[in-house]
Amino acid sequence: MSAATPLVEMRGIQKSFGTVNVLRGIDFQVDRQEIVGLLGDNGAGKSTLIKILTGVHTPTKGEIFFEGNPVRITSPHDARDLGIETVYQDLALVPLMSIARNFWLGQELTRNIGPVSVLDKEVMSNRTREALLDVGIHIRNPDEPVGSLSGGERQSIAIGRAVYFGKKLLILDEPTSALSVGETRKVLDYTYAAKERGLSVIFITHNIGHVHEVADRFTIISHGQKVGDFRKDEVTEMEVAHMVMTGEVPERLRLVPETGDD
Amino acid sequence: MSENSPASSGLGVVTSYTGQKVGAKPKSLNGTILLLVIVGIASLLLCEQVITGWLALGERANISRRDLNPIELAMIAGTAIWGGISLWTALDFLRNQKTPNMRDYFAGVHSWMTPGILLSIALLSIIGVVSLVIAEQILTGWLPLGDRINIPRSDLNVLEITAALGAGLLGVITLRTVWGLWTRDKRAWTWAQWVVLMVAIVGLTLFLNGTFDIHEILPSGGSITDNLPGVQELTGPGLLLFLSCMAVYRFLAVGIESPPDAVIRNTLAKSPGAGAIIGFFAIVIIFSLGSDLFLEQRSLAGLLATNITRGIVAIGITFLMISGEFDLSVGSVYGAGALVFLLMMTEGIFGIKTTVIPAMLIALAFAALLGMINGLILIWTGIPSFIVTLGTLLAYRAILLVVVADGRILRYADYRIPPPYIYINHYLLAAGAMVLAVVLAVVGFSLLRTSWNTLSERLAKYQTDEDDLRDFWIFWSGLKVVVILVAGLAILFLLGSTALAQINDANTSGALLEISLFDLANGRFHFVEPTVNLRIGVLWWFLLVAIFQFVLTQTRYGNHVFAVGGNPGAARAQGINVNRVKVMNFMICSMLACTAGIINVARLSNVDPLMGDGLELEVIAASVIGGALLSGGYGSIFGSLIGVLIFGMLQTGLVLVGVDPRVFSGVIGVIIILAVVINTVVRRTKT
Repeated sequence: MSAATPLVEMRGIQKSFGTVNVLRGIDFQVDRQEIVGLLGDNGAGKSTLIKILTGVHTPTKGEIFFEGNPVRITSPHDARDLGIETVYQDLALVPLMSIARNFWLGQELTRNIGPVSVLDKEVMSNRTREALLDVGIHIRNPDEPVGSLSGGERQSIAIGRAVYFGKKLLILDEPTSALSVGETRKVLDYTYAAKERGLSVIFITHNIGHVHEVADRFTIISHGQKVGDFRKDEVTEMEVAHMVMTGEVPERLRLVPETGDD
Repeated sequence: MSENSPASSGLGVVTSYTGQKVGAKPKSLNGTILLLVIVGIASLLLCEQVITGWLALGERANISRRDLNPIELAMIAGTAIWGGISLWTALDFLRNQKTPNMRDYFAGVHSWMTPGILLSIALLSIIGVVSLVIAEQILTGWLPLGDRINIPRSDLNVLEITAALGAGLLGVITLRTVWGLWTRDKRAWTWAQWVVLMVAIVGLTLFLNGTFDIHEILPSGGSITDNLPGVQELTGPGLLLFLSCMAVYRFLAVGIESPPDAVIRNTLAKSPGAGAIIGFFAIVIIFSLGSDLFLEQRSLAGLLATNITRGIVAIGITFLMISGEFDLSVGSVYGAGALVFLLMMTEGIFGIKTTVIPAMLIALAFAALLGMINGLILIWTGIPSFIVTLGTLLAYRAILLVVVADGRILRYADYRIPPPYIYINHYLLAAGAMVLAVVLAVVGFSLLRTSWNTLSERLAKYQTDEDDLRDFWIFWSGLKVVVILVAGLAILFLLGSTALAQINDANTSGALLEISLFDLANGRFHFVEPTVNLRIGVLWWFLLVAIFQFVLTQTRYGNHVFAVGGNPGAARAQGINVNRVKVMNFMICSMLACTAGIINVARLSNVDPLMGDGLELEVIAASVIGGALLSGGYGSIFGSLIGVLIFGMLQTGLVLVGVDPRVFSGVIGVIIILAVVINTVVRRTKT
């Protein structure tokens, strides 16, 4: 497994629901420690592509390689085992539960009192605070319910959680679409912090403005097909926005050969 | 101190580090001034009352006022001084734009002779001295409590000892606080707030007590004026105490980020059952004042015994509701489970007859199956649980209607079988007791170690502890350690002596021990008087509440239940098998309904086809009153207990206070809506 092997590679992914072809053969890849902006208009197929990667859907056709090995991801559990963490806009955390409980949800720490194992709340609270502080997130009180936090704070905590649990790939689904400018700023900072810690990030959005600053590369899809794959230095923000909107590659870029590490 | 900046006429607004405008006259001060004026006038009036003899104290009613006793003299002096200080403070607050505050006092700006400061010190001194006097009075017998008038004082009852201890402790704490204020020890500020708030509550209780007594006296004849002095003995001073404390509390809380009332509100807001707990106490107070029968052993035991079924079923419903689902079929499952249990022992099903324990297990398994059907239909079809269980409510009821047809009632007694007994070897029971003792010892030791660690940590950092209430926390952790130790040793002793007694019995008699299973499930308690219908089922109910509350809040599964109800998507994304949790909860809910059915059969020994009809709505009402959210993700099992008790209290209490029982469902309806509104409001007040 050399460093050149992409972390994730999806080849010729097709997906149809009944007679509707949502994805018509998409190649998509993410390198190690790379932030990829996955862009496309609503209904372009971004979500379907990602749901195939996270095991929510199975592809009709196509292969997925993770760290160079072919894998079959048939359930969210499989994706989780591979080290893929997804942060959904509204599905990341449980609002009525505390920060600490959300942080450890699904992998709670327990201690034994005689024959029964009980949640070790104190340790969970303390480690939550430390872990989040580690990525630069200050929280007032880990026992506070998530519902009392702002959207940006929630996203940050979900990102901090992914970093803490040693995930390899972080998928952020429209993380900034409902946030204020200041909060978007913070989420981008934590995204960058996640990269610094060795994670790769897929940042899904339909608005180039949200991701241009942190992304290393953009993949643009439209109507179930890939429009193009560009390093940040190759394209301008305007050109990407144009491609997202029209699904066509501007004249200037057509001559440039496919880039990337392959 | 910046607060003292000489902004011309004191109109300058200075912001302290808490962000609050300290120097300016806060809006709420108008209320404080009004309170102080009322308090001042009331105090002077009370003083006059004592002098002219309207309000005789002690045993000295109707005596010539030339013969005042020392307590009355002290009261005259106290009320006069207190009234004077209150009016002086009110006048000063009214006249000056910039009022003094505690922060400045601790910073050394004001002297103790400042209005407000003096007010606080005076009130606390009075509270401290009076508390000590009350403690002394109780101990020397001047102020007997409960029904124990004129007994020798060597024979204090528990109530009196508690009251004397409480009053003594309050007195010492208050006087220590006064000393702290005097020496400008900043911790005393926090202590003063808590003391004053607590005493305000005591005052309010006294006042309410007296007020409701008027209610009691009126119908029994006699005009209100005949009884007025007696009533006033509590109402007047109680109200005065309450208002005084509120005035001082408002003064003390100026410039505090989270004063005690906010702390209490926040703590309540965190508890799902907060509304229910408040409602519970309100209803207990109202009914106990409205009817003498309400707080009698008989009524309370009856209240508990008649609500066992609801209580146990409500546990399951609450559990399920927290995971975001809903079960209307519990009433039918309750009946069907009881039916299977009784049939297995009497007629047999498919020709198979069993004894009581297999019958119980089969009934539980059957209920689990019914619950699983509910759950599986839900997850396979995606139909909302309301519809699914509405269907199964009718379908499961058909089982009872078909089996117990023709208006028949299935009775255990009709089959001429003796009630089920189990025979246990004495040694087995002794061994069981020992095993239980060991398990409890391990658990107890672990709890003890945790509390002991907390205590020693607090003791170790005592000198450097920034917390104003450090002494209280040490007292609190120490109390925990002592309680765990004493309770633990008592339980161990009890279990040990049981084991020894069993071994002894085995050696002398040799026969097996005979236990009636029906009595074990829901018999009467032997140690209460026969008219008191206290049932053992109550114990099972409370035990199940404790177990499921533990599972819900302290275990991994409970955490998943909350997550599944709160946000199924997030739960799934974190690798929780949402469907499994839901199906499991449907099964748990049905099995608890069946348990309630078995316990009920153990008492009544019969099943009729409509057993449990309408139970589902009562239980859902109780859960909602107890703070569970219908939308899922929030609630507590303890809350369901309170909810069921409120439901039951209204049922019996309304009859006891003479309300037409036909109004009952109307009252319940109003209460449900009120409870939900209160719960929502309490949750929102959280900052």
